[in-house]
Amino acid sequence: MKNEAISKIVAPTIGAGLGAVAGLVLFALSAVGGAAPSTPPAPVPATPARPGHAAMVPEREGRGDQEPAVPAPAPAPAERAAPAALAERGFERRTIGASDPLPRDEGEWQGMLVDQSIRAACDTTARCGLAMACVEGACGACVTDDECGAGEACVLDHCVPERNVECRTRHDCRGEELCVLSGYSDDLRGNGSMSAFCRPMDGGDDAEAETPYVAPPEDAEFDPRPVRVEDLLERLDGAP
Amino acid sequence: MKTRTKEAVRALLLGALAFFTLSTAAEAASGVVRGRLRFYQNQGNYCPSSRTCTAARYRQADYNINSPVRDVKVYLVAEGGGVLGQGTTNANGDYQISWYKFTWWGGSPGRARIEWYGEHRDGRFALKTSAGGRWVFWTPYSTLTDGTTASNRQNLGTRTWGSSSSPNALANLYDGAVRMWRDALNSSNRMRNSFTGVEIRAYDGTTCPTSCANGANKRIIIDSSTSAYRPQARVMHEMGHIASYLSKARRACVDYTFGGNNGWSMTSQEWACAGFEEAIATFFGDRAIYWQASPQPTSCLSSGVCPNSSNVETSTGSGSCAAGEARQPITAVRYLRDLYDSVDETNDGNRFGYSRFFDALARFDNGSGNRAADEPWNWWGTSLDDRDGRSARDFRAHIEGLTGSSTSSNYTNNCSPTGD
Repeated sequence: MKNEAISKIVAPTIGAGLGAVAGLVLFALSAVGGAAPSTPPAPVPATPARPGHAAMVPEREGRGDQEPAVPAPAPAPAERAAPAALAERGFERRTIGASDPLPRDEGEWQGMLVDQSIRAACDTTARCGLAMACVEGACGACVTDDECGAGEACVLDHCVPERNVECRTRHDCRGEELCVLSGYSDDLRGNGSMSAFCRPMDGGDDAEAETPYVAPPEDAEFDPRPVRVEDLLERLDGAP
Repeated sequence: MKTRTKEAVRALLLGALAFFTLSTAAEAASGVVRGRLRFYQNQGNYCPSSRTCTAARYRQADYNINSPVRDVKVYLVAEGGGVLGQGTTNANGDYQISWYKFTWWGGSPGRARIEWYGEHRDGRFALKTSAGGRWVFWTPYSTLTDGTTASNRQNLGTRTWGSSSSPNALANLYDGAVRMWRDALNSSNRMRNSFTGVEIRAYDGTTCPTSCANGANKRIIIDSSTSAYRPQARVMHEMGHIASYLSKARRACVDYTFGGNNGWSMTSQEWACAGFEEAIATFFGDRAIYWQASPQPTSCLSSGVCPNSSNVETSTGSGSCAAGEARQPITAVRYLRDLYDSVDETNDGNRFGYSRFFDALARFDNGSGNRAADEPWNWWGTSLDDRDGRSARDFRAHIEGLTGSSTSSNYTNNCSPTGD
């Protein structure tokens, strides 16, 4: 085959191949950006305790094994046990490894450190729970306010409603006070009522009368089954 | 343009067209799920209905029923792996999670399940295996429905761990820790600021045959699954040790051999340092169950009900104390309880808020001098030279300094716990 004929075949073939490869590469990159982490990491053995300097001797402080001479009462009747269909023994010891908390400056509050080992997939920050930001397709700690949603500020690695931010670091507080987060709230973002504020070391909530004992709620089940039309009609027919 | 160049450009354009075609075939699914997590409550130490349970936070009505898995982080995990969303449970064990998943050609999002790892929602503590790994609790898989929203959530139902015939020890252990945080430590600013990232390892009866705590490492070791049902003397007590350390870092009272007996109980005689440390941890833990107005706060090691004889409100009384009673940890517990409670005020007259006890511990100076945090140790920290140091007597000095109130009558009416 003449060179010219070969080149008529080879050149477009190479071009198509490069184009397809380029297309596939670009496509694969966009897919990875939105993918969730796949399999859990390999087990990570715990760091062994440091040995025996006097200050590091484990405090072997537990109760002596003295049982009182009173027998335990018989278990309550089982009429309030969970229905068998919904009582699951879903439990397994699976060594998915230790958590990987994002370090924070030692002088700052060490609460609610973000676990970097578990990151949910996301397309937008609004999708992330636990007050996280969507960064490169996964929910995680924020670094700047821009990574958080509208009206949110990045404080102590979390997105906090701006209206609730009194401080960002302990340097915004007085004396021994620490800049802390109030904790996750129950909304989908986990930050609806979250606040960042300065908390002193001393004192606390000592007004016990304001927190009365609450009796346990009724054992109402979440029944996921849809209501049958026939049942509904039957009830309506029987209604007074 | 030469023919070869034209051909190459055409091929590149075709490749780009292929790319765009493929990319539009890739889509995402999203939605919102909700549900409830519970466990069968089997922990002892509740206030029995046969007693007056005023100001008791854990009562017989709470025992042996399905109770919420409270304040835990939860994750929605896809079948085959991958976390799709995350959230927390509330006081009722209810959660809701917004999820997102990449899919091909608009396919089904597939199945997923809820997992939780015994991690407190606000990072106060976490259950761990004896080696520091994570325990995993999971539900069966459910098929996800694409397009659900916050106002139209997919209900994954209620899942319960354990039953009356087979309670789940770890779920009970987790609940004991939650109760200790919610109904005790969370009252103190010092603990809100400091009690973070504590590990509760389960189980290791070799390292700690009766459970133990290491404040410097923020680590608790629970000895066995049996202890999961004895919250007051195990997880609550050990969290009390961590709280004591976080209030004031110090070297441990390592000598429990007073009188030749290695180990301790509420009525064993101990060096004052060890006796006070066990007493303060016990007092801190007891408050998770019995608040200020409790007329019969009991404290014991039991998976059932504490006997009446373990009532820490009552005392032997000044002048009637038995030989050696001043060295018993229960004596110091009674003293601490009297400073806190609002019962029998005609004799003791003090009613300090729970948070004051942590603040009083913080007043111990650094060093090994009298009334200092390391008083039992020599200056170099290499050996013990005052085993009755950092005692209830020292604590008395600090809480009186903090509050400006004398606790002399509380002290003497409770057999004057040993200390110098």
